[in-house]
Amino acid sequence: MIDKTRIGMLVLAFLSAGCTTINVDHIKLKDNLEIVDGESVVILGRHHSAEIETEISLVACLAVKLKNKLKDIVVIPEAEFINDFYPWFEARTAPQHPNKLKLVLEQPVIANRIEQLGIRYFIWVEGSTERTGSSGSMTCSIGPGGGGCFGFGTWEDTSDYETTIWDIKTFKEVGRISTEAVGTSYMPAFVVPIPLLAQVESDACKGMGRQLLEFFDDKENALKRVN
Amino acid sequence: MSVKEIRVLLVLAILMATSACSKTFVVVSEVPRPLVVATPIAAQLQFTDEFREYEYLETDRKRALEKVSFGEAQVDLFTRIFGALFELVSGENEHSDLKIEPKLLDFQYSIPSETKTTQFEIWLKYRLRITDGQGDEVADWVVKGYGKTPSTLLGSHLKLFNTAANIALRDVGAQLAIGFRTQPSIKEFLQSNGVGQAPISENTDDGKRSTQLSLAVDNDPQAIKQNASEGVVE
Repeated sequence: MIDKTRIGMLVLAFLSAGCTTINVDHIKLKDNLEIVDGESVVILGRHHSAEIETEISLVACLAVKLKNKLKDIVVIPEAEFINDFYPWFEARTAPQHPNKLKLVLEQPVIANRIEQLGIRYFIWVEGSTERTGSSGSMTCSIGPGGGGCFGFGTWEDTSDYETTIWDIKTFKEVGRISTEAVGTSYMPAFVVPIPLLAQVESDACKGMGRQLLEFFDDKENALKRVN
Repeated sequence: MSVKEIRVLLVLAILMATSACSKTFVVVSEVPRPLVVATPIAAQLQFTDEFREYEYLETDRKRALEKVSFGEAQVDLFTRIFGALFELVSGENEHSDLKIEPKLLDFQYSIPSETKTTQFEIWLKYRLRITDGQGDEVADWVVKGYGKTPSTLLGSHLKLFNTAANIALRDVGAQLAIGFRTQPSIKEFLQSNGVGQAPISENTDDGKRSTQLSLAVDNDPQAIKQNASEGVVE
């Protein structure tokens, strides 16, 4: 006999995810992107305005995706890098273009540190996930005989991210990934509210991470790893 | 339950209640040492008692905090930044080529309930009066800093407030570390004192480079909600 609890858990797990649609576009600006084992990449979020503030969690998620797949490549955590290179990669001072990065890296004290860490690629992520719509209503009440909620709520979250990869050997942009994700979450409530959440930021990270991995580990398209 | 146990519970309850309602907050600076090369001249930081012990007292009772103790954090910031830029001397009778006296002109903050977000925002405005060893004015520089809690960061209100304050302090520090020695009158002063140039790093060997690097401080200034660097040397 099948355990009812297990069925309940499975149904709940199935239901507890909202729907997300992801669209990932990429441009390769260089065919032979090579990375030597032991070299490192750094993934940084753009925080240069009050409105544009890439989530720390998204940058960390991408770092984990790369780290898990590309075992020989070091992925430097964002906070560690920014503190190490303070004040050159702060919101106000971070270079917006590879030429500006070149200018910063022409300083021996910074160039030496970059060399020590073996940094080859800078990956910049710009964008954010925002609530773009919501509707429905829910009322909750409590009385001597008990309490509960009734109603239905739904909301939509949209992710819009632009990822650029800079090669610091040439100080040129070598790739670009655009990721758009839209997800709708639902919250029906019949006594107990049941949240069916769309993990929009997380799904955007998955899509972006998969594409990023192809940039660094795409054997079919002559992305060459030198061992 | 014994009287002793009741007393212990009572003390614990009072402790819990007072810690939850604590409205005085001490900002702890977490700004790292900047990655710059020091200019070989002696500089002295002059902090007034008001600056060292600065406390923001909230007059609006509806706001989250009653008192923000900020003195220690800002002293720590200026010591760390200028300690990396110059050779700091501290004694009153010690010779110094440059004296720097920072003054906090403005400290403002907003709380989540005011902005309908989950973030704290902090604005800082400093004036730096820079004089030479004889007390003659070299420069008078206003620097502004802005910081807000990262949107996805979770934690207690006090932790979030401290994070925003540190981002604002880092912002001020970044402008000082990169822009201070490239300010025209300070650069001129350094040149006239035989330092030659105002090296941002070992490689900053011409005026052109210094100018270019100072531009980096104003990276997309219109995009920054609180544009910090007025950068005007009077």
